[in-house]
Amino acid sequence: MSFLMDNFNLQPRGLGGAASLMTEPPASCSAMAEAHPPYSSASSQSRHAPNLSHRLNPPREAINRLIMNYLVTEGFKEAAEKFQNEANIALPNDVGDMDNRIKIRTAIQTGQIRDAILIVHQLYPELLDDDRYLFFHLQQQQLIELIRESRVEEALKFASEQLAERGEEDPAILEELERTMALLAFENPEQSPFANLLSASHRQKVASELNAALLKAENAEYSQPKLAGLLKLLLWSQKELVKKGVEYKRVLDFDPSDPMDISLMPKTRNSQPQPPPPPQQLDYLGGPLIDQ
Amino acid sequence: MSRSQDPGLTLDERLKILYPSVDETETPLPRSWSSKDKYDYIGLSLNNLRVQYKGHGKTHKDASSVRATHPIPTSCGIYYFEVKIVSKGRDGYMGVGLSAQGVNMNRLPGWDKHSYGYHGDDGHSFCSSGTGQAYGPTFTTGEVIGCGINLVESTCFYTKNGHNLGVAFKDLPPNLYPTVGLQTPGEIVDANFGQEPFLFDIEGEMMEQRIKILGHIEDLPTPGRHGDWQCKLHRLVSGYLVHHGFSATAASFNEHTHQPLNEELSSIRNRQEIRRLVLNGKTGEAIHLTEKLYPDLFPKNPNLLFLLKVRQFIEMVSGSESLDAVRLDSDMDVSATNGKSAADATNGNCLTSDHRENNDNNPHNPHHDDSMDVDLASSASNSGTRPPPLTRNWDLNFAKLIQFGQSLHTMLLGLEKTPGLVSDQDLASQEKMLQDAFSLLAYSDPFNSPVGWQLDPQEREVVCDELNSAILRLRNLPGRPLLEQSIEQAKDFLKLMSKHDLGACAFANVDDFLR
Repeated sequence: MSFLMDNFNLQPRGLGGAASLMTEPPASCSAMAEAHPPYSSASSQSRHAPNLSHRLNPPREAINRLIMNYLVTEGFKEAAEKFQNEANIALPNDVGDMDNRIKIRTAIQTGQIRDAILIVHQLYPELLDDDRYLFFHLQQQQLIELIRESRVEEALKFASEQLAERGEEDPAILEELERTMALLAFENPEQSPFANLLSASHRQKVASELNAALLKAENAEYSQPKLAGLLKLLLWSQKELVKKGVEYKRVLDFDPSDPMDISLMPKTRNSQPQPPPPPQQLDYLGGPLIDQ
Repeated sequence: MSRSQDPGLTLDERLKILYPSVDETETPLPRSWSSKDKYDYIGLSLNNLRVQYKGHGKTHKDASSVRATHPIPTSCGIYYFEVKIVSKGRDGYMGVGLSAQGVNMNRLPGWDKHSYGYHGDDGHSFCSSGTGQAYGPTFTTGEVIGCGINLVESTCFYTKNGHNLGVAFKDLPPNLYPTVGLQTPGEIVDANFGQEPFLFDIEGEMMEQRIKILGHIEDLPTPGRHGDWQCKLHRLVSGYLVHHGFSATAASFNEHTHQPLNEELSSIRNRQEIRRLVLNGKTGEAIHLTEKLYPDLFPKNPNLLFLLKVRQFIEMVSGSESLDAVRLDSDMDVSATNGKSAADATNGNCLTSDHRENNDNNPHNPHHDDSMDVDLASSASNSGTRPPPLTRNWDLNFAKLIQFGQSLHTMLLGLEKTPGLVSDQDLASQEKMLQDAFSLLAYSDPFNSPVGWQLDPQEREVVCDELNSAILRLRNLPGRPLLEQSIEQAKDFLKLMSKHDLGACAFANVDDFLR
């Protein structure tokens, strides 16, 4: 408890604190199950005095931050701004960077690779020096855009001046470079075996790679939204339990062949009292979290 | 120097830093040697930290060991303790290591099944066997031997004078106890279970393990087809936004992620408005609006209405809620009031209109009515940022407050009188709730009183959530968003991991993702 208090700066409660509002001890392992009231029996359940214990843990503010982190990381700028108002929560400091990330992503998706590289150089001068593959992929995309526009001479010049040396250093880069240059050999590159290089999804791929690198540069710890990390933690812990042979009781009628199903409830081996009936309607958003 | 190596820390503080995932109410950490779980030739002193050999030490049959008071909890992830050789005695046959409960103590650690030790005289490691393996250097007087257990990988390593000697044992069983054994006269060793800073930087080892595990988690392949994962994250976020009534955010987010809203926007906005009122301390208005929008709600949830009314009372004390709505009616049913007072008296409650009695019953407040009035008024003028609670017309307002409180008590009596409506347990907690709220009146500065926590705006969130959940359940929607359930589930799983000897749970924490 005090660990949580440290983390969330919860004020210690005075005499007769929140615990006194409950008739049961604070959320312990066994009490956790009470956090899942049976929604199906709403009318009968509602007659019980509200159990206030679990509501503060984690605090609303912490989950709001998690949501804000998601909106910002994934570039939902408008939603992030609205959330700032509605949840009364500050936008993270790097929201300026979100603008830039959106700008960079847009530039790449519209083929303006040079612009994107310039912005990246301004923001993180060392990023592209440190990640040679990422830099190569950007330059490769730049070359692809020249070929797409049939600017053959420029493409040849760019390849020999900027990229040839790279290819000599690294066979993997050389191979990718050769595949790209091969586009020039076809009168209609879009019909060539290497046409996928010209697709919109190739631009997306490069944009995503760069976005992840930018996120990593902003916050070394997370290059993915924290929410994704949290869910992976859930999946991981469940996987570890399955590996160890800890038994589970399936409380929802999900496909038993999917061990990654996150909606399982644990069943302990010993004869502890079973948790109360689980929620019947976990899936209120049009499908379970993990596919059936 | 790492955090735990700060010499200013107490034992408790150091253990908290090193083993944050350990719940000591369930699995206490070793803090000293056990005065019971030892062989006769072992003498303990210095708060059961010093171990001295007291036997004859003629043959190996005179070997003698002692275990720590508790086994090493799995949720440590990595556990570490150090032993300082105060004196090597006659021959320096000292063994430092681990053993399971029940292993013979008339032996040195390492000689028997489920026993592991590193011995000073030859530097050998003994893995459940009378024959040692060449492992490290010998150790003697003045040196410090550390023993580290990696509960993720079930391995053990030793340190000598702060230097890691590498892995000594693999495939360790769970629930081992720190153990030392001595065999010749004069041998003395002192244990350090965290009382002092460790020579070795164990936090470095922990950090390495943590990075490894967080890496596993991050690299975990996402289930389902490409893009499914993204969709699921989007659904979780949208579900949360809709649930708590963040209507504009939800509208924007769902538009950009091409998800339909599962509730009419106007309906979300209604809940949002109710939420706004409660969070701003306008509980009375929130109750009115709820009654208007969801007339079925309170008749079906009398407890919820009671909870809200108590909150309204608290907000009146905090000054957020106006008292204007409360009309001091002179034509109040006097007989009913009297009857109520009588009922209070028999119940042992002091919720009567005579607040002097209330004060007298409260040992914390020696004031009489008049002095209390003055105190409250002056404290209100001192607290600049808060809305001044009840500054003017004090007597009138106080009477209103008392009258409103009394109506709550009448309501509680009503709940009590309807059999089967509320359980005894719930009634008890409701009575406590009302008492706590009334106690606010007993203090000249309720904000800084022992019951002042009720005035913390955070408490509004609690009430707000209850109301919102009840509205959603009334409409057959879940009372809790899937996102919050998922977080709860992850916590449960991690706890279950520690119960099933999966030490990796020490390095993966839900709260790490909520900072």
